Amino acid sequence: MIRALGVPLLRQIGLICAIVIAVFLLIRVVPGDVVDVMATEGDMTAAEVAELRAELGLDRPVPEQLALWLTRMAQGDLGMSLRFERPVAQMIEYAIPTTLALAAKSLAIGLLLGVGIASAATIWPRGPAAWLVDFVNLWSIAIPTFCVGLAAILVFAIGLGWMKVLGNGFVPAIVIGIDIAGQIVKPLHEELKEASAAPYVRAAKARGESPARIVLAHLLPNAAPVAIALSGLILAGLIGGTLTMEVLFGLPGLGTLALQAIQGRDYPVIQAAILLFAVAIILVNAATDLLQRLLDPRLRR
Amino acid sequence: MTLVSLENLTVAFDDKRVVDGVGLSIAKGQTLGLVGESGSGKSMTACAIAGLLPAAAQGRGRMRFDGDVLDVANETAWTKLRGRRIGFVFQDPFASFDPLMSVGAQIARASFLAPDLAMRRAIALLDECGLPDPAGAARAYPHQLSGGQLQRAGIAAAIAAEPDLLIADEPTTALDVSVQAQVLRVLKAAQARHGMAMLFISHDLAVVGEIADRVAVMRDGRIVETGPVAQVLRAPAHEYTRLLIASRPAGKLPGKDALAQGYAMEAKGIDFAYPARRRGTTPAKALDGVSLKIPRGACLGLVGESGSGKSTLGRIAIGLLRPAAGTIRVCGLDPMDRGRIAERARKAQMVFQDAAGSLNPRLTIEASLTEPFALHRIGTRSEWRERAASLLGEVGLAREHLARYPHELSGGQRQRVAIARALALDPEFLVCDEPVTALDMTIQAQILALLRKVRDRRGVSMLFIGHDIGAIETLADRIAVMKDGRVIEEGTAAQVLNHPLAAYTRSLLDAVPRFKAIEAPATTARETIDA
Repeated sequence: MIRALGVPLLRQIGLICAIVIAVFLLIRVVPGDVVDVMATEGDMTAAEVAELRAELGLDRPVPEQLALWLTRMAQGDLGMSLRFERPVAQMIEYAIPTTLALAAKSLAIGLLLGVGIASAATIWPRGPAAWLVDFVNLWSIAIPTFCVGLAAILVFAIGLGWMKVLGNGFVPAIVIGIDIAGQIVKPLHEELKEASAAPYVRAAKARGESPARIVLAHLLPNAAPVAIALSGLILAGLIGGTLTMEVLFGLPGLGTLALQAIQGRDYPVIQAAILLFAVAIILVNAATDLLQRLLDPRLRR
Repeated sequence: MTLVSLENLTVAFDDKRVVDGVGLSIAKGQTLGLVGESGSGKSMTACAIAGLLPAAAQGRGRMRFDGDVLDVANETAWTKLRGRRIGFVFQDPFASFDPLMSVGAQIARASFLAPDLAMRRAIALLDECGLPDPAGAARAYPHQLSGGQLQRAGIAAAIAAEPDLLIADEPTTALDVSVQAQVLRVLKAAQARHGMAMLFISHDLAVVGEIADRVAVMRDGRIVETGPVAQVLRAPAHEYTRLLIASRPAGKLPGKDALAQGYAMEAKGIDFAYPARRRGTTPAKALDGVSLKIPRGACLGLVGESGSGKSTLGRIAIGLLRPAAGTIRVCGLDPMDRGRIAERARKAQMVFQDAAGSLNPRLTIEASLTEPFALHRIGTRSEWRERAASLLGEVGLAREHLARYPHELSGGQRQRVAIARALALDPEFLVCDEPVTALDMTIQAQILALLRKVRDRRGVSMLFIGHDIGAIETLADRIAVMKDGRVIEEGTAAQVLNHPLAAYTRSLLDAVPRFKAIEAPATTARETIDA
């Protein structure tokens, strides 16, 4: 199994390098650098600007900057923020827990809702859950999360004043969670319906298992690969995708950090954030693969 | 004392009635055998008794079960019976277990005991059903057990809650002959030990005769005859039962068509000519007024030297060539009827001489074997692999051959795969066009033995084409000899071989000095697999 994952892993490390280098070059194509941004904020003479640029090493040729950055990164040094004069690693370390907590909460809510509604709709095909499947699915397709997020702020924070009660991270997690549920619920429900036509389902019924037991013990595990694959994609997206909610709710996570860094042309921070997103996505993909193999005894060796 | 009785059961799909007014009763501890061809409604009757009718079926009628009266139309009434009081053993053991849950856990769930007790009970049941390593089998997942082992586990699951009635729906049909007997013994023993009544469904009267006390014969959704098993088998009252008994040696029950007409293939006055190579020359006549009949379940050997037209006839029979004149019916169909090609393909299949050429070199064996299922929309995708594996088992190959490509197999193995694929749709009629000619002598004998086994077990009718009378003699009931596009002699195998009428047949027989020598390995090499 390690070998099966090992080869793709090597390929993915290559992919990470390519992404990081591409980003390194691309952000330097965008007009204006950190010194320009600072110059517009405070009064700086042309001489001061040139001096600062030299001090930060931004006057050197791009390939030289890239080589320097790669060498440092290989030594585990992500560099210093150009704007805040703090180590990038420290800033990221500070932002990670917020984003991870939001992503984890959102995914948990999304899975709970999605799996729950899809299961209920399979057990009671004529019940309200079957209607909810389409409702939640349409909700997530039709309404962007930032709209729901804004509405949630208006209702819960300003209107009802519940924000303090629920805590800062809970409302955005619900907003993202419903969005995730909508993405998962429809395919999972279809998969469950398809699985319920399998002959072993009739056999389980013949042995006296109730519809609920059949769905929970037999159909869900058999339909799990779909949910796991989707969750993997969603989680990978979440690591950078909590940005809107973080900004909207003022959470100091990775998304906020990356946005600020891009606005301020804080190259080392952008580079480090992108590197982190890439690694995270690849790790999530590897984890989904592994989980799917572990869940199916026929694929286990 | 009557345990279960069914009154006036009707099952319909849309307006098509598959069960039409069936009534039957089973006493406590007694076994009722329900016999009939496929499509006779016997499985639907069993499903109705277990409350397992498919959603699309409309069932009507009443069932009494141990004093309670149930309405067939109201399935919820069965919730308390299924598993607890009525156990069900399915035909395909692989289809009756969840592939993701261990066999022991599934049996344990069926026992309705507390979790710790349930697992011990599952292991005890597996032991009782004769699995050599019950604890290991309990931990195993379905794909890790053989068909025979899994079917015994299926019986264990069905009796886990000590039901009063056990329904076994063709429980041995999907298994090898050697395993069938074992499974029957297990069923009988379990029934005796737990004092269960049993409804045993089969198409095989002989098997029913072994296990049942009473037997009911079903045809077209009705019960045509019922009575004690000895009486029905010895003195059948209904014409159809007599036909079932008469056709027993062929293995398979004759279908409806067999009653209407007794021939798998019926050719009358077939003419055929291949187009002339060059303009102006007259086309060579390959067939000239050929008339041949193959009774159902029989094998006709068609002999003749190359160019005599025998392969041409085979191709016409399968619809690959259109005769210039004459009529041909195969399994009651015109093979050239474009509208019914799919039906023809299900009923009549062909094994070619060149196995390598008849298999797509870019497809794995599994892909080749499952292709017919996809084309004919048979079963679900998940079942296909198991079906393919069981087909391979039937032709003496192992499951691991599924992943191979044709070039990775020997010639004999490739021909076995070709036979498996011809059998995939469970045909009634097989055209074998010199299937062993390209093979070594010993492998020839093995393939012939395999074809004989297939014939005996499935009761398929065959048109076996060959130029070697020795090869044909081991298989054919009747032999026809062809020369220059005409049938010059036809008769039972014994007649033609021992008292050949035509001089040409005698010369053919004389030309095969070693045909006795082939016969010997053919009978001893039955089960050996060529490496």
